[in-house]
Amino acid sequence: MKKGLILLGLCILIAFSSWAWAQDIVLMHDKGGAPDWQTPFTEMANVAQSEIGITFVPTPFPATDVFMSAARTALPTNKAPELFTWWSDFRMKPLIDAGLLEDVTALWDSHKDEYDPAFRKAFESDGKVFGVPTNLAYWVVYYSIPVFDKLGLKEPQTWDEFIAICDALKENDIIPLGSTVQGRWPTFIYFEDLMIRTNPDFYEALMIGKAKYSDEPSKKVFTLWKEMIDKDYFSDPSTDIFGDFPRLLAQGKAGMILIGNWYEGQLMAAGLNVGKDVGAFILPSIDPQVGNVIIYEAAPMLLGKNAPKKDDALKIAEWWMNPETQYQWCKLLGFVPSNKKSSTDFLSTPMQNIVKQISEKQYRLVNRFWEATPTDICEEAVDKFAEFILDPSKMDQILADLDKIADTYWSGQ
Amino acid sequence: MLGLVGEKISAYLFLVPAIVMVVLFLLIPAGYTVAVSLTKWDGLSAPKFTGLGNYFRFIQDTVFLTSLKNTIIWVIFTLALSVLLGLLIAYFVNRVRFASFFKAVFYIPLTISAVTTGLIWLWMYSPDLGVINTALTALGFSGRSWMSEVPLNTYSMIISWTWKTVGTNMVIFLIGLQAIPVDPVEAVKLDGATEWQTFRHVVFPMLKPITTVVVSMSLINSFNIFDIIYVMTGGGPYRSSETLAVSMFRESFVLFHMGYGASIAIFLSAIVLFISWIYIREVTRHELKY
Repeated sequence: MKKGLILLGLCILIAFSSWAWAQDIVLMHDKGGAPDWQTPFTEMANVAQSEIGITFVPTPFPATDVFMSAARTALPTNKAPELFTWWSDFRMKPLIDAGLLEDVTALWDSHKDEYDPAFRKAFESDGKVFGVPTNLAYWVVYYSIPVFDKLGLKEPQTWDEFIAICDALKENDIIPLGSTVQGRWPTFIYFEDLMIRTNPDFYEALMIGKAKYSDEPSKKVFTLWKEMIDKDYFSDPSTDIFGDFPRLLAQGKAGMILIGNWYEGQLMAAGLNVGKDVGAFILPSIDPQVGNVIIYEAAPMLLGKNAPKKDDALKIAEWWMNPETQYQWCKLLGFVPSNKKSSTDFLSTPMQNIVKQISEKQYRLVNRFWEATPTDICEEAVDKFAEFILDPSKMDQILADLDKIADTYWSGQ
Repeated sequence: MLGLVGEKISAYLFLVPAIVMVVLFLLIPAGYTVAVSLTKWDGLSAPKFTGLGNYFRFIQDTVFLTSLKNTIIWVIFTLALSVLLGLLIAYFVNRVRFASFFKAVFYIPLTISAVTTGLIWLWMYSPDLGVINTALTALGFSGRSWMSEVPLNTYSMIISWTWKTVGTNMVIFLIGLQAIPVDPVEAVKLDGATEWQTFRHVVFPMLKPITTVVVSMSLINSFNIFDIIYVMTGGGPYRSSETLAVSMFRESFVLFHMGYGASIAIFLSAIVLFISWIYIREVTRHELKY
């Protein structure tokens, strides 16, 4: 009898706990391992509770694949997450087309002066905006200050100066640039930057199927990329750019890497001080007529349209867009705040200077390849880029294959 | 009479929980997967029925054919390396001094998960800082791009997998070797048989049931190989090192081609089921006779 009562009590407790949890706003994300966003999200949940009286439960998934499957499964149901992190532009388009996301255009309209139009565009479809900004990253070149000092090198102002730096590093048996095919996605890094620094209009047209990979501007970029590969400017294709390359920079065996500014976490993990051991600059344009241009990466927090506590989620989203909230959140993870009114005083000195440079010189912001082109094209294209990196002599075949991949997708739209 | 019927009924009732589990967690999901494999579906919009279209796509899909080829390579080399080495190591460990030490040395990798094994070997294979290339360079040789050169990357991963799994096979063969009676072995030696003749004509035939178990287990595991590849190369570069299990995962949960991924899963399951059938048939048929 006693045991039965205890068991009954436990069952009621479990049922109540489940019910109570089910009433909380859920924020799903895929950064439950490394990097760890769970702790910062938990802190922001506490801040939300104290500032607006509404909180959320960050629910981490340790692997991106598992997270995406879980989110896609839940979104059409009444157990859809109120909030979840995702990727911008074409990566969120399937969710928009399936009617699974809440429209937050009004939120963006009320914060119109605080955000660059490029970020709104990254979260927009057919004039409606979905999602609020979670993180913004600029793609810059990090370089080893001791190596540069030793060889008397300075941050390049022109493309020719940049190539001269690569040559100087090569002559001194130092790997000029970090690059890899490991992990698949990093293969687009040099492609996108070389493209926007030659012809950003063509890049944007290519991303939406209005140009071909075999067109002359693209061929020109691949030819340049091939020259750089043939001159051995890049690290071994199987280099671990997240684990090993920061150590190579620390050991003076490598010079530079073109990457998103979130890479500072990896540099610090290798014992490097950004500002003292590592500097950063924006890659100069190849064609000076292109002007100032930079790749950015902006990730949204989306709202599930079918979520049970959607109204509270909208209040969280509204609070999230404020400059003070953006500052608090970005400070926890070292992100660049996408809200113009948020301070950047917590960023490393090189990044503060770059953010200032982007603002003062009115850099054109161009979205990253991963999001800027349809997923079906991107996922196959990165494999083709890998094939090119490993054997640039196959350039013509690879360009033809890329055209075929893009044509197959766009013909079905 | 009633007692007998009652006994039979209660016997079936004891089976019910297991049957429910099999139905809920095997048959229904399997049936659902077959149904999905007959559609084109991205997991968000409504599925479109395509019949056997996904299966016919196998023949035209170069990535699928590469995956199939890689899977066969994994199977052949896993049998050749992991099973043979396991037998050889077991045979010599059974005869040397400090056998416990050698057993531990070969057994320890088995206790490490496949993911950890992949990560350890990934560091060892690192082109710039890995111990393998560092050693090769110190000896005057050139390092290799172990994970990006095709097909070297597949063979490099097979070596990692062999390091992990040879311990299992060694243990199983050791059990078999230690169960072999001494008399027949001593008898042939007295007749003047060499070590090799003794092994070939007496020891190995007596190991047949154990060998069947080891080979069948290795076959099933190598057909399903996934985690170590996913960790080490992700099936790259450019999908060159994918196996069927990796392709299935990628098509379903990365590209969200759920129908095509399901068809690969069914194809792979059919192969593994066939191997399992052979395995169970052999295990239940053979008896160890001395």
